[in-house]
Amino acid sequence: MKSPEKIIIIDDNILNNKLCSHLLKKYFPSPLEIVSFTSPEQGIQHILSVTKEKTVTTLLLLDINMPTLSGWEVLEELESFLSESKDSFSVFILSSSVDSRDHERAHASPHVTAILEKPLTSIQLDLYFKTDQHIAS
Amino acid sequence: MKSDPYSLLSHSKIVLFAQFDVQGNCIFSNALLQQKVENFEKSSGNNPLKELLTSTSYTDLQLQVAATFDKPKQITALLKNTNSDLLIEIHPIFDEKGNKSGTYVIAPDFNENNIVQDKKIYENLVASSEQFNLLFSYAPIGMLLVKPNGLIIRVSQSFCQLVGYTEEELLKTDFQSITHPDDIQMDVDLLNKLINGEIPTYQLEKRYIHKKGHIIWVLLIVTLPQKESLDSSYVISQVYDISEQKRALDAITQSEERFRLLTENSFDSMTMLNEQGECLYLSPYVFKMTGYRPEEMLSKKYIQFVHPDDAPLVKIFHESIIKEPEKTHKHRHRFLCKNGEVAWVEGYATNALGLKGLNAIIANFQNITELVITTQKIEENQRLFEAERKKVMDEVRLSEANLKSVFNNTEIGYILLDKEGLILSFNKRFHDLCAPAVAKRLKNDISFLGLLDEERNRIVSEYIRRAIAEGNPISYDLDYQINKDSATTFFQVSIIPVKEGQNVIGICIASQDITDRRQAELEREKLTTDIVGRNRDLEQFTYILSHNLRAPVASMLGLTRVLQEELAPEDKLFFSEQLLTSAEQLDEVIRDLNQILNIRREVSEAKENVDLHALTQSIANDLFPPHVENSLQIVTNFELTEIHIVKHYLHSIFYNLISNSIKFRRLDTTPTIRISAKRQASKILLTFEDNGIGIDMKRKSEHVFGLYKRFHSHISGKGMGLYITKAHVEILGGTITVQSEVNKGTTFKIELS
Repeated sequence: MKSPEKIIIIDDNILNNKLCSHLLKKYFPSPLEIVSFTSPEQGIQHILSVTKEKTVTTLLLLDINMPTLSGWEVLEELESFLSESKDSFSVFILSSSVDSRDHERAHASPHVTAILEKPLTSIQLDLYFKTDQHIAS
Repeated sequence: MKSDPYSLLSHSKIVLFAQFDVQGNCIFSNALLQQKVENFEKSSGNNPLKELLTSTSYTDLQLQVAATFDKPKQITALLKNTNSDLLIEIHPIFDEKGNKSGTYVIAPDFNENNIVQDKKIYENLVASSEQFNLLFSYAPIGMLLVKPNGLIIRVSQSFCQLVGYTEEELLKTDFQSITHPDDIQMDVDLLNKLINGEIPTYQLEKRYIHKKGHIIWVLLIVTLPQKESLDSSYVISQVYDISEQKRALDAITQSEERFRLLTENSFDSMTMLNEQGECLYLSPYVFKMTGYRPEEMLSKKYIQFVHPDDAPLVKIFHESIIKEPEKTHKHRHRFLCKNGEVAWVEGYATNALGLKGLNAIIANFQNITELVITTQKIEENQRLFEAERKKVMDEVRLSEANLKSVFNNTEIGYILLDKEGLILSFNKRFHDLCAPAVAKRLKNDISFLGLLDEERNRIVSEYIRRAIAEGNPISYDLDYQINKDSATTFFQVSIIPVKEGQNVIGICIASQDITDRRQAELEREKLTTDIVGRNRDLEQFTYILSHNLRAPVASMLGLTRVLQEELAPEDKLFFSEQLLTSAEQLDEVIRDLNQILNIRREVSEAKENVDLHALTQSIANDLFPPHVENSLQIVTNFELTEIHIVKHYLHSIFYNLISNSIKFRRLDTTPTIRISAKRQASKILLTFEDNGIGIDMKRKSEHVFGLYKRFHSHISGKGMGLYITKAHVEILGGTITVQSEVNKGTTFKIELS
């Protein structure tokens, strides 16, 4: 996969957002823009309002279990946007526990590229982004 | 010493026995010898012979023992106490290489008061007992000494091997215990005869039961001991293992038996008669079948042995054979056997009168008695079957007559209508199942539909119309209250068109009370729903729990990896603190889990009367201490002021719902909660209604009572309160439901039965 130029993280766990940012900054080459949201509603708003016009390669890291909206509900809200921006926008589901039901759901969704178990590690990312330039880092 | 060949001497009750090593030290003495010395202690290592003999005699004995010699020798020693002589026999012991490895000595038992003086008698005794012992030890056949009552007092090693028991085990038992049950009586009888002097000896083929359970065939030879022997109160048994021979013999006997059966049971027979019909030759089977001896039949007229009823037939048959020599004649007749029984035979006869060297009518036949009897039996059975069938048919006719009484006593109500709907007949049950108003007017020759009210009339008419049109029965379910006060009764009604050929000539209505069945069905449906719901709850519980346990663990893993990197001091501090926070979260989840699992454990608490006003007041005091401004207005409306219940659960329910109303209050209005309690039929109804921020029921209704479900990200909470409230309500046997509207408020209704 092409390295993202922008990464959006939606997870109610603020600590996870910090950990992800820390790892992603080291993993991907700069310039890289990282924004994170603990409220899924705000995350959706950001994606729809800001990202829509842009053609930058964007990666969304999305948690499943959140109090107001689940990750799956976020995807439903973004359905039409995701269908339009397939080439530039990809979604990674990130959850602290992944069971078979989540896997089935992720595979069934045309918009989900990967479903990963927390904590996010460079090994997990290697599966999708590994190229010569990253082996060095 | 058990396995030693001198074992028998060691246990001897009649011979003193001691064993010496090469140096001449006494290393063993038998119990009998030890008994001779007062206060003899084994552990002291004392040598009983030394105590027993004068010192001179003992020194002499030691010298003899230590000397080199290869044949037994005898010495006379002096007994210390009585000054009398004791004859001692000294035997060398050799090891397997033929070197002398020790000695043993034997001496006769003596009585302090009556010492055997006659050396000659004693010498014989020693000799015979010695021989006897050796015979026992080395006997290739099994040997045993048995008391008249069967107790085994001595046994050879080879007998032990034969029956699989140790010598020790056998000496505790009698021969009966190891003998095959079928052989005991014979053996005991013979043994008694032997002991009573009726017979000098006996031999017997008998079976022992091996310790492992299998049978051993032996030839047993039992004799009394010789007269000059020491003890005449036992017998000597010699035992030869004949299992192999027995098996071989059995095999031969069996095959002989088979061969004999084969020949004897050959049913083919042959007869040769002369022209006059006299028997010239009869094969052995004829004698076997008729029971006559050859001399009784040969030269006699064949017809003499034929059943009298068949004699004329056989006579004609004989004549036709003579007349038509070229033909083979088939015959069938009966013999009258010597014992009066009848034997059927069937076969062929040929005229060979003209043949040289034969000159006879030759007939062969087979015994077909079995066949004839079987055929007769079959015919008899067929006759019986016919009779039985006739009886059954008669019964059917009888039961048709009984149908009327069945009609009047069945659990199903019936009514018969003619084509016009007039009542032809109905049974008592139908009458009982009708509503009283209908039942009262029920009688023959009036319109049935006319008795029904308008609505019922319409329904039943429609079904009757359809049943007639389709020509098939129609069933439908129906429920109504027979009396105003009675419970609902469920019915299954069938409308059956009665046809003659293709024409419907009437209607039969069958009505059945299926209330019990229906109630069981409803019960089962409810139970299934409950179980499905509970199962879904459990699945959800497991899913949520694994997620909430895993989340802090995931954070801790991530943090630990980051902390291994080079970090700026402030980052390092931040991540370290977060690691602790995550650990605390994990701890909290585990504590929650513990609490949840405990909910269902606390069921044994006793019920008490709980005053609702007091309960509400005490919770209000806890939630808003006196010095804090009251943040929630509580309005109570308790028609029912006291409930008999487990207080702990009711407190938890009130506490959670009241504190939720505080937590999720609206800031733009005075937060209020209205709590009411009333009795409704047999149930208690509790209502908690607040004017808080509410829950979006369209999206969240199925999650309201879920574990770790939170609906408001800006208000802290773990999502445990309502889960526990629901669990407590359910333990009390109740149900809880919720209604809510965003920014209007939330109402919880609890029904306790």
